This record gives sequence, C-alpha cells and structure tokens, in this order.
Amino acid sequence: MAVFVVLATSCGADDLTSAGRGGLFPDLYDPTEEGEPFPSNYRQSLPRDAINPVYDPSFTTPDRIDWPGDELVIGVEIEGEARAYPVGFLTRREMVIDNHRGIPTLVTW
Amino acid sequence: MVHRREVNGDEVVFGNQGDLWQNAMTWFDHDTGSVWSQPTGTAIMGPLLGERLELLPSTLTTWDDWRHLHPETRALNVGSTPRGFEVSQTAVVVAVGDDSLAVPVSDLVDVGVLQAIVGGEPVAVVADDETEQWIVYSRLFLGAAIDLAIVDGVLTDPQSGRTFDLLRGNALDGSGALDRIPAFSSFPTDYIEIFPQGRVFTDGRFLPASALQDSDLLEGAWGIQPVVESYQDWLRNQRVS
Repeated sequence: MAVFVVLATSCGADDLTSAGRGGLFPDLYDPTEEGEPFPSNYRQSLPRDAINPVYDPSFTTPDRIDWPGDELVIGVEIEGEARAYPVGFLTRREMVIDNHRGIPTLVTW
Repeated sequence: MVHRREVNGDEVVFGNQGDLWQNAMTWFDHDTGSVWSQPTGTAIMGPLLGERLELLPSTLTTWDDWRHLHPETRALNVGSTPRGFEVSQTAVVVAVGDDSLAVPVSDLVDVGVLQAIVGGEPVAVVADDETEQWIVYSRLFLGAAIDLAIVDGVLTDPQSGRTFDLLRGNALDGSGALDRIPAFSSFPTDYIEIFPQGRVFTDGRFLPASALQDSDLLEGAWGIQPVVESYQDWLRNQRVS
C-alpha cells in the first residue's frame, strides 16, 4: 500500500501529464499509468472524466418536469425521500455524485 | 446502480475512469486514484484494491409509475450546464462496409440535414437543432432514391412533397418509414485516427480524414489518444448498457 503512495507523490505529475490520460486530473495517481498489473479483460479507452459526471446535482419538483411518462428513471428512496434520475440523461453523463438525506450516493448507468 | 460513496466510513468522490473492465464501466476515486468496477462496486487497481462499496436499493421504472408511487419525489434537474464534454463536441459516424463518414454535431446542426453516399448507400444525417439529437436514414424509400431536406421545419422529400417525422422517420401520410442506418458517436479526433481513410463533413464541405491530421480538429478539448480496439468496445458498451 505504501509503495503506491510513494509512486503517486514522487513521479506522478510530469509522467501523467505527458501520458495525457489524466484529463482534468493530471496530478492524481492513475494505476493504469504506473505499471500496476492490469486485471484480465481490462481495456483503456477514454481520459478521466471525458464523459463528465454530475458533481453538483440539483433537484426540482415533478410539476416542473416535462419528461415523457414512459421515460425510464432510476428511482431511489432513502429515509422517506424519493429521487428520480432519468436514464436518457444518464446515458450521456453516466454518473451522478449525490448526497441523499445525508447519505453520500453514487448513481450510475 | 446506486452505491453508497463511503470507504471505511469516509465519504469518497468518484469520477469516470473511462476504461472498460469485463466490458463494463470503471470509476476512479478522487482521493487515491484507485480504479473501481461499476458492476462489482470494488476497487480493482490502486491503493484501495479490494475495497467494496455498499450497493443501495433502487428501481428502474417509468417516470409515470415512479411519480404516482412517490408524488413528493424530487427529480434530477437535467438543465445544468455540463462541465467539459458536450454533445456538440462529438461527431456522428456513419460506417457502411469499408466506407465511413464523420459529421461533427456542430456542423450537422448548422445544416439540419446532410445528404451523402456512404458505401454506395444514399444516406441522410439528420439533427434536431434544439436538442442536438441526431439520426441517420437511408434515402431509399419505397424502392427509389429520394432527396431529403428541411422545408418549413419539416423533413421533406422536395420531389414528392412527402413529409417525415424528423427523429422517428415515419412518413406523415402513413405510406411507410425511412430505414435507419446504424451510426455512433465519436470524438472527431478519434475518428480521424481510427478511420484514416474516411471523410469528414466540416465547414460546409467533405474533406478526407487524412487531410485533417494536422488541422484544428486535432486540437479538440481533450487531445484523446484512444486504444483503437477498446474504443470500439466502449462504443458498443454505450449502446447496450
């Protein structure tokens, strides 16, 4: 575990920037750039956050929504509060980083 | 899927790693950069290797059913401005046989309908300029090649006057429907790299992809250098997930 931390701090920034896959996070450790063994069937594809998660979601009430009735949604209920996340939107953004009644949640498609 | 973003009791923020493991999406956490698998909720590389997120209950249903079940539900506000990647930065790629064509969405929205022949097939690439939704149709209709254009805001065959629903393709007179041609989204820079023999429609003209190798297109927002086969897998995954 400590080995990884040392790698991240000692040779991270320049190498990662030149590798170009860090995207918006050039200084953050990326195990795919550091010679860690890949699990089988792992494929590198896009830079980090090239498909941009929703980091600060906001919510509204159903009367202000014009989604079609047959729009698929991911529905979540925590401590009596229901929230709906439309799948059509999630296919484009893929991830929502939310806080739901004090519970930190990650909604993904 | 809905997971609880906590590792050993501490809140963790996740981003999109952009890679595929077992053909499924991966995340990274902002604290350690570890790579996580969506379907298993586990860290598969990096300092947190082996950690697992708690899966929370959720349902997949229709908006109608959900709001009737939960009249007080809150709904994700989808009008927020995206940071970084946007649809207008992508291109529509039509590939028929060995031939292909890329149309940046920003260029497509300017023209509304782009007619072309790809792999011998007469096609029309169509976009709704408000939503930037796009679709690709064959221009073979009822056994004949037709032209398609936007006339008074409606997708129209100017020869016959027949009109079509823009994004569904059905003839409004009920005489049939346009066939869809498979197409997918790509970043223009990726297309040029993956399909160097292809063509790009931009600035109102068709250009060979090879002529764009050094152009401004390559200065896209990300300077993406994809691994070709994995990018293809990624595209497939986007469409089936």
